[in-house]
Amino acid sequence: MKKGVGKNFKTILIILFALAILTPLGLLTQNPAFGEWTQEEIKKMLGFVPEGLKKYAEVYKFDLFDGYSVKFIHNQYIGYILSALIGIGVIFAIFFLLKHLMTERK
Amino acid sequence: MHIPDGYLSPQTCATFYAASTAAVGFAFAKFKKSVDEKTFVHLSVASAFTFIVMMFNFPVVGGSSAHITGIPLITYLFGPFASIIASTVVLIIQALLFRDGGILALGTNVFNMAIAIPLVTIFVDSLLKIANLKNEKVRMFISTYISTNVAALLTAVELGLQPILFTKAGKPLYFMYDLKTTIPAMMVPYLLIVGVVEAVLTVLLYSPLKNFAKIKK
Repeated sequence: MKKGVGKNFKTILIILFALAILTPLGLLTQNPAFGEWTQEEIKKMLGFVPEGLKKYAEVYKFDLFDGYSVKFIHNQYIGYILSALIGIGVIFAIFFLLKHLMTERK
Repeated sequence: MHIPDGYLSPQTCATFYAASTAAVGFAFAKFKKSVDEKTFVHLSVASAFTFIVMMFNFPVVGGSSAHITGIPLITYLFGPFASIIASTVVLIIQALLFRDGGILALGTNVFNMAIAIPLVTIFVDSLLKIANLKNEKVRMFISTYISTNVAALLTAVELGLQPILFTKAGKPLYFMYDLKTTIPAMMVPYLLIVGVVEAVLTVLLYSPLKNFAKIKK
C-alpha cells in the first residue's frame, strides 16, 4: 500500500508543477490588493507617508525574491514561475526535515 | 490579505504574535499525537498547494486584486490542525522569502488566515451538521464562504482600528483608513467574488482529492 502513496504523490507533483507553470496568470492583473500598497502608492494617495508606517515598513530587508520576482531575472513571468518552484522546494524541504526530526525522536 | 509591515502598530503585532503562537503551538501538540510518515506527505502537499493557489491574483470590484487561499479545502482534506500547521509554514515562507506580508505583521497574518480559516470552516460545518444539513457539498460551500469572509473581516477590523487607536497630531501613525473605509473595501469583493470562488473551488476539488488524503500506510 506504500506504493499507493508513491503513485498518488507523483500525480500531485505533476499537478503542482503544472500549476507553477500557470502562475503567471496571476500577473494578468496589475491592480494592487487593498491594504498592500507600497510607500510610493500611499504617498500618491494621501500626500504623505504615516510616520510609524515609514519607520516599520523596511525592518526586513531581504529582497532577492521581492514580490515573487527574482532580482537577477528581468522577465517577470519567468521570475514568477521560478518563485513558485522555489517556494514549493522550500516547503518540501521543511517538511522533509521535520519528518526526520520528529520520527527519529520517537 | 497579507498585511505588510508598517501598517500595524507594534502593540497590535505583539498581541497577535502571542495569540498565534499559542494557537499554532496547540495545533502542533494535537497534530504530534497522530503523526506518521503519511502525515508529512499530506502536510507538504497541502502547504505547497496553498502556496501556489495564493499566487493566482485576479481582479475584483473596486479596482483592486485578490486571491483565494485554498485553506478551507486542505482543512476538509486533512483536518484543522494539519491545516493550521501547513498554512502557517506557507505564511512564514511568503514573509521571509518573498516579502509577501510583513515580518512584524506575521503573527497577525497567521491569525487571520492560518488559524481563523480552518477553525471557522470546521466550526460552521459542525453547526450545519447539528442543524441536520445532510448535503456535504452544501455544508462545504457555506462554511468555506463564511470562513473566507471572516478572514477578510478580521483583516479589515485590524487595519481599520489603527487610525482610531494610534495617531500623532491628528495624523495616522500606521494604517490610514478607519473602519468606515476598510470594512466595505475589504468585504465587498470578498462577499461578492472571492468567497464564492473559494467555495466553488473547495466543492469541486474535494472529491477528486479526497482519495489522496485518505490513503492508509
